[in-house]
Amino acid sequence: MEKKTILVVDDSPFALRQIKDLVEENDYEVIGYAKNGNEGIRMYEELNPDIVIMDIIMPGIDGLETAEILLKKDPDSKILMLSSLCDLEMLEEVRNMGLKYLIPKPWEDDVLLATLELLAKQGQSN
Amino acid sequence: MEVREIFDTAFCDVTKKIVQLDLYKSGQEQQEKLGLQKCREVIRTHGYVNAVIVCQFSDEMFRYIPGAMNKGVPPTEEEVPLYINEYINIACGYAISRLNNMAGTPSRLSVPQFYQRGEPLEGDMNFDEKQCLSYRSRIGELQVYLFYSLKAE
Repeated sequence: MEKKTILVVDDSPFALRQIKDLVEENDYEVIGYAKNGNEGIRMYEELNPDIVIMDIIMPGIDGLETAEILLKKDPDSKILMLSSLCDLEMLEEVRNMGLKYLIPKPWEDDVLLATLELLAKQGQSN
Repeated sequence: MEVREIFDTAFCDVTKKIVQLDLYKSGQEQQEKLGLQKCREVIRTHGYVNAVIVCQFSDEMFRYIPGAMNKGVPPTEEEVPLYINEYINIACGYAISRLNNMAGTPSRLSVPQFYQRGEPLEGDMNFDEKQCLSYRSRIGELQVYLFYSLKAE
């Protein structure tokens, strides 16, 4: 079975390493890494990943603004938001954008994997 | 609402989880060291919690934290600030999230700034409250200075 591809958009090499080590043991492939929102948008267009894992707090445009741009370009894009700041207001902001998933940093590995699985299956019944 | 206790829990829990280190509270005599350590990380918040949070690291902690986050491999010199940034980002985010949920009002975090040469802090430092959390560990010392005002809606 073909592996689902992931683009990671996060200015933290720690987050990238944690994500890459985890997901690549679980039938995903990290095909790109962007350190900021603008780079993330460019790489999304170049690489067309199945899933984007996006940090919120980044230099330049933040993850919410980046996700908004990606959704305008591709309303079917599958984006999992990550943030150290994970309060109810942030969750509401993410949901208001039409996204479903916000995971706190530091995350629990099983939660991240389960959420990726849900995201990967999103839209498959359509 | 005990801001100090919330940050204490955040730093202890996050340090244990991501760098496998227990933090122990130091005595009073450690608390007035702001400016005496060169390596500092600063993060700002705005909203319900308006704050400047300054983390100071002893040299041993400054070397240990990025390596522990990178699975025992010391990162490159260029990457060290990024690891330190993420450490304080996660710890402060944890605390601020809890404060936001308790207050029902949001605060937001800045991107952390890293100071390695003892540069003076920039910007307004005029806040209502000041707290210091001072820790020792088996590796070295960490101080967390909280300068904050809580804004009523």
